[in-house]
Amino acid sequence: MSDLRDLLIDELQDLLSAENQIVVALPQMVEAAHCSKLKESFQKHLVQTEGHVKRLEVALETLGESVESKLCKGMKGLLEEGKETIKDGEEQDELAADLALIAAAQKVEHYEISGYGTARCLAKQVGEREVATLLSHTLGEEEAADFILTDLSKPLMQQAMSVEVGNGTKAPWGEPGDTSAHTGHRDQSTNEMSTATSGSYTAAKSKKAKA
Amino acid sequence: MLEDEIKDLYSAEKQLTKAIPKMANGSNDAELQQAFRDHLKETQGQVKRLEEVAKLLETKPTGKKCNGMEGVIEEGAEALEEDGEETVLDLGIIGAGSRVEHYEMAGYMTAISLAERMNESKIVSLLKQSLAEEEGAEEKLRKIAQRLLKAAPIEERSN
Repeated sequence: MSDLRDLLIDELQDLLSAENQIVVALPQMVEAAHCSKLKESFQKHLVQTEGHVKRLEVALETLGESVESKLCKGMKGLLEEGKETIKDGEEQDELAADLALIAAAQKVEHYEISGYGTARCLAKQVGEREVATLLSHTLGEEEAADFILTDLSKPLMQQAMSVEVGNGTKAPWGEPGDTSAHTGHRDQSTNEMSTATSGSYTAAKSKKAKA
Repeated sequence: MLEDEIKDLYSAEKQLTKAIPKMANGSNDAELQQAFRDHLKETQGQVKRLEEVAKLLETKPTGKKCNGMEGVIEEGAEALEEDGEETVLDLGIIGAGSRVEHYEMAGYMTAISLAERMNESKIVSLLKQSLAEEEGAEEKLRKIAQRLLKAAPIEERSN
């Protein structure tokens, strides 16, 4: 580890391992999800993740490195936790199980956002613009995935709460981004937090436009 | 579900109180060492806050192991074992630290939105204090990284 280039390569090999592990784990998440929108979103993210693997391979080739991964223990731990969540979910009601899946998936997204933020910053610093652009694309997709999960969790949470208080009222399904009037203010503050934390070495990203 | 998330965060923060001193000792840059030491104090406060939250929920914060944080910390330990140029190594440690912070932020955000839905305003405010500290810690790491990035050897520029 004698220069930034070494560190960048190390980071890319780590991310490659992380993405490969996610490709294996996501079908289990799809299977475990009850809500059809959540299933669909995991399914879409699986396709994106396969693209992330390809981009990392291209990035390593661009740097003249062989396409090798280095076991990402962090992701291994996260996915172990995800497996527990799936298992626990089998004994929970559908809403609680789906919400727990979303929470686990968002931890994965945040972890990746941090890794890609670091890698992109290193790529820029060593003057590897092509690599930085590839990483930017993936970072954007990870951030979007996190954002979509936050949106999906809102109606589920509302429903879960109304079931919990037992008043029998069921919250209607909202479209992503459509926040109901009485919770609108708080939702907004949560969203801002989740987008303001993207990218690790880089300055906070500009807030995404609300859907 | 909130209880579960609190237990998970508690286990994560507890693990961190052991890991952060190692990060501080393993880093070369004085400002980075200080940042880790400052964050250790914050982390100890966050543990206390989670104990308080558990009390408000009439439960215990113990009883769950956060496997996610265990993996993230193991990876941090790898960054500490590397040999090489000091600034590059410090940047590797910052990368690991930043992953830890992001992981925690995701956990706190989930817990906050659950507590908000349950109208547990006292819990929300406790958790928000911790979230703000995590964000501040990440910001601090980012600033140090920017300084170190300028100082670190690049090897070559391809444009």
